[in-house]
Amino acid sequence: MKYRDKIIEAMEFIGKQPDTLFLGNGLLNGYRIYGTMDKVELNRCSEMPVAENLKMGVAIGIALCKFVPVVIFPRMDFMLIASDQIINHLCLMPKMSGEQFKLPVIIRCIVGSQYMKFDVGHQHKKDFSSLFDPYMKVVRLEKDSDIVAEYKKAYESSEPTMLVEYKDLYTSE
Amino acid sequence: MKSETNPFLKNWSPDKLIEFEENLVKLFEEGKINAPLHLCGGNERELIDIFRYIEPKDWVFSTHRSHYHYLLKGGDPQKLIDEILGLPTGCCKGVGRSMHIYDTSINFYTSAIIAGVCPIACGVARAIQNSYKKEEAPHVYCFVGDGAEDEGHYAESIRFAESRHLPITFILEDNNLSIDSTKDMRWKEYKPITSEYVIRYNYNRRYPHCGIGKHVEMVGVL
Repeated sequence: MKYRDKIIEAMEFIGKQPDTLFLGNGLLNGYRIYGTMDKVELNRCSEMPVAENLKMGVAIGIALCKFVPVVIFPRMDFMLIASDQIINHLCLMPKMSGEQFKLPVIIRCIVGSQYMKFDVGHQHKKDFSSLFDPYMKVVRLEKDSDIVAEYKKAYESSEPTMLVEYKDLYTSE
Repeated sequence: MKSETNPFLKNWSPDKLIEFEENLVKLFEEGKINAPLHLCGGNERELIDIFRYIEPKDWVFSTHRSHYHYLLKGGDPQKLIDEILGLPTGCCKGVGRSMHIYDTSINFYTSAIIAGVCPIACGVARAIQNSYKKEEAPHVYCFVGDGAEDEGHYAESIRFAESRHLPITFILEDNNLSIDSTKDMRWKEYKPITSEYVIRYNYNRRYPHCGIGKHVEMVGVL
């Protein structure tokens, strides 16, 4: 389970930085995003209402106050509801302002399993990441070896980054 | 009652605000504003009353129609005119124009997406709540039109603000028009969202939704 272990390591790294906050659903109890948040302190996690657009907008506001929010979408399908905040606001606001401010927001999203012996369903396994390519940096985490380095780069960047994980790789050896 | 704390109000009266917009009408008629122009008007007294209590440290979020809010928050009038004209000396280096006014030096942000600022304003209030003692905390003021009340993310934001006791107030500027559609046209039987986090005032707009009500040939534009 190397892929998931690397994500656990990346989340632990981000959770230890002084200015980070995780926003999402299922962060405080249960499986905590497929077990990947086990090494992140609960006080770094903000459980949000199930309102994706609100969740993304709140992250932008937090970034305006010099924090680095990590917004988690355990199923990318639901992230489309937040696409107005991602494209019209997160990506465009710094440009429209004449670059007066930066928004170093990290978006962590997961594409559902394509495995057909147990089909997770039409609305739980789409990869919409290419919709966002024209507007922001999108990093597809296809190799275990990239995961920690890419999350570190996203944390150190002053620009927003979307990191795409693949649920099928969680169970790969 | 909070005491009056806005030092910039001394620069403005209803007549001076009206005069500012009339100057923009003149520039538009001369064909010098080659971009959408959303003029304020009809709400001068109401806004001056609300801005009496807005301090320099507070944050203001506004919409596509933000000239008055920017001026009353302490924005530089010349930088605003330059921005509307698309000049590099504008508050956003001329890339925002009338609809997208930002000025981090006075904590001023906008969005031309209906209710787009509401969740962002909540995020700022959330960060303030985490970072300041209550008595020293800046307050967040989020101005939206009555069209925003139609949007789900306006309702989400109010529920979030209420549930977390955020230092935020939404000001619903109700001119009963979303572009040119009244609330009753949009909803049939309109019912408002009420909350202690929302102040609503009603006004009649002086100008059309966009532009000045007549066609103008632009000059100096390819």
